[in-house]
Amino acid sequence: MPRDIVLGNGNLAIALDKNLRMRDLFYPHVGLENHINGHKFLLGIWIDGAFTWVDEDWDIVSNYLPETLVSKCLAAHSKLQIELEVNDAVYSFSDIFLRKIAVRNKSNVKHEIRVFISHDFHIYGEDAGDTVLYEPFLKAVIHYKLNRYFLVNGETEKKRGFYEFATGQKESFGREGTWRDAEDGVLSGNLIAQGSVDSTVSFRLEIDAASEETFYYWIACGKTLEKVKEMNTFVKGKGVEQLLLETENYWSAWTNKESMDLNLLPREIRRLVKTSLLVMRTHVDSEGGIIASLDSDVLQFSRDTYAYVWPRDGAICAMAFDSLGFQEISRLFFEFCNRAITDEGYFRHKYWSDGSTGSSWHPLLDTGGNPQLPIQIDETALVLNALWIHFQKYHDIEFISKVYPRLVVNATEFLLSYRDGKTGLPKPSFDVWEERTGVFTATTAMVCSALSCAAQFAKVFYDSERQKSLDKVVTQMKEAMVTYLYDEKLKRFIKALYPDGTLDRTVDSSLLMASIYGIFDSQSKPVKETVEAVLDRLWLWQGIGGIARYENDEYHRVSKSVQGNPWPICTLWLSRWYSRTAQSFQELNRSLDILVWCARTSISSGLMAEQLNPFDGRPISVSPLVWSHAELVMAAKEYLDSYKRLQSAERK
Amino acid sequence: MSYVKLGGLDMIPPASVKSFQINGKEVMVINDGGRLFCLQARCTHAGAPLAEGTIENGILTCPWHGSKFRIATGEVIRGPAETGLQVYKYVIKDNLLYLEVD
Repeated sequence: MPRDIVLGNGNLAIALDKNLRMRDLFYPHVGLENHINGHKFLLGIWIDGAFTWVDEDWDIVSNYLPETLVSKCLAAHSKLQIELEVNDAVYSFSDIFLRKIAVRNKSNVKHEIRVFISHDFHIYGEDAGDTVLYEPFLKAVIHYKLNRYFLVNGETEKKRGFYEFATGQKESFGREGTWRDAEDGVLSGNLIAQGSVDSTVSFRLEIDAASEETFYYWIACGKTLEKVKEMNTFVKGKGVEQLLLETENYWSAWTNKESMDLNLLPREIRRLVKTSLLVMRTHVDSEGGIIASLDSDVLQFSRDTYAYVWPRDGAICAMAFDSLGFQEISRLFFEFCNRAITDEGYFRHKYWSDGSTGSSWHPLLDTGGNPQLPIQIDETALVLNALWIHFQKYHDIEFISKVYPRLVVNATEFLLSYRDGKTGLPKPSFDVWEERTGVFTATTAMVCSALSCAAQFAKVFYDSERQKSLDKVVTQMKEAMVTYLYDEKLKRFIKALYPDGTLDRTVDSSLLMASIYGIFDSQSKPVKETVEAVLDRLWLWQGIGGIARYENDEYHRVSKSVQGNPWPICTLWLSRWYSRTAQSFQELNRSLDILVWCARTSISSGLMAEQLNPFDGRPISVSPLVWSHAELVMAAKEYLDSYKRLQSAERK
Repeated sequence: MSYVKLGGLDMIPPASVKSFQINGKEVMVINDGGRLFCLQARCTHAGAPLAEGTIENGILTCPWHGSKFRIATGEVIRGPAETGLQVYKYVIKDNLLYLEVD
């Protein structure tokens, strides 16, 4: 199940599903130590003897308060005549999850209503060795293991704490967990449990006919018992209402950079751009790693998730942040990269957000049994590209000088060394989709662009000889692309040249990289004809539209009747190409149409998935995917730039 | 009195709201059925972006906490806001909108 709401502050990151259930809680790093690991913190209601969990029987609309990372979700149960308005947030200045729930009695009689919240912690991602206890002096429930403490507390508007609580064992000896205990409306009051444990708490409200009552709830996350107790005192002193107001204003101020003028965009796109920036921000760790997705439901390869830093996704995110003026975040990412890059000058497949090497499916031998570097060189190339784009905009030479030796010089030397002496193309590596080893048009375009960026850096530092030699390599590599990766008969670029000499002529949306990174002019004939092939073969003429990744894409494939599921990132590459090539406002509208398509296919809260069901548009694979949001931001910025270019041309 | 150009009228079609940064202040322009209103763009209660609110029968509802304001006068109709919104004067010349500033 995709996530509907993501929240965070750089240390604590939380994802909730559409049934208002917390599913992922990462602490103390964004992406590292998921203490829920996809399990469910349930929300339940008991009304005068009838019990229901908030689930598919409820009408639920998830959203954010505009320009904030504070949710506003409405859940209504028509039969019970009850409505919940839920505001969730992670406090911007401390590692505390905040929740406010207004319970509305829509009936014409007074009701006693009990609200239940269960906590299925798996501290450090494991279910064993946890303790949960009731702390009678604080009237709180505390889950802990080793150096991780989670203190759960709450109070009603009338300052009443939990009505009841239960702690107990789960997932062993036939015990389901304390959430089952809630279904009769009464909790056992068991004081402590160890091993594989959970807890449930309840609030009791008496609500007059056609009235509402509010209660507050929080989880303080810390590394010591003393710390979470201190945080609990802080919340009780200031009040959740005040902390939510502070968090709303923090994010609203963050979102509204004075340099950012989005007024030319339609309202739904403006809103999606701001939501995208906020969603991207929740995926940025305070030490600079940008993870691909907080959503842990997808078990991509042998029980693994997307909660890793792929230098590729991070670099694209950094470019998007930089495009709208968020330079401090991209700097943080480049500092992370400066620590993570190998001494040999390349990035590994992916990393944990503390900088350690992530899991991988890239082997050390190729299919012929020959040694290979288990990497995708596009990742190294993209970081170099992103760094040059950053420098061009901000000219922060003192910062660049700190990362120059490793991120520019070492990375460039590696890219130069990793070339085939005969063809002048990069040596084989894994493709941008991480599926096959070969020499790919998309990868080559990114490497070629990175070397061009390195040449421009050399010019900045007045190293003319280096600049000249790099420019020469760029020219040779570009010519080699035409020689080996352009098909004269098909009149377009091909996907790949494999180590055994075979050519892959599959139409792949990543062929658009040939122009996106500036290697070939967007208006040039080879690029135009390649774009036409992508549009012809990969646009979903039936169903919801959008561009599939490539012909016969099997990854999460829904139907053989289409080439593959539409991917927002691939569709947005087309929008960017339309923006770059538009010679009139009418032509530019094609770019806008794609942005509108993204707004309409995102879920109500604005979250964008990796891919969509081609027929009903439901999210497929992870949601949100930070890369989708980053491409949306860049496509919107390119639309705005082209709009201004055309306006200026019209005036002349 | 001086004026600041906000842009062409076509930027604010009927039933739309746009906000602008003018000398450090955020101002919004509302086109409600062809009539334009220029008001302070942040809620006086907690600073919410009012351009993201809803407008019905000349009443603007704050998207964060539900305060209601009359767009013609800026007055508060319902809290939690206690203070009304500042209303700005404007002139239209050659299809361009200018805001009156001090």
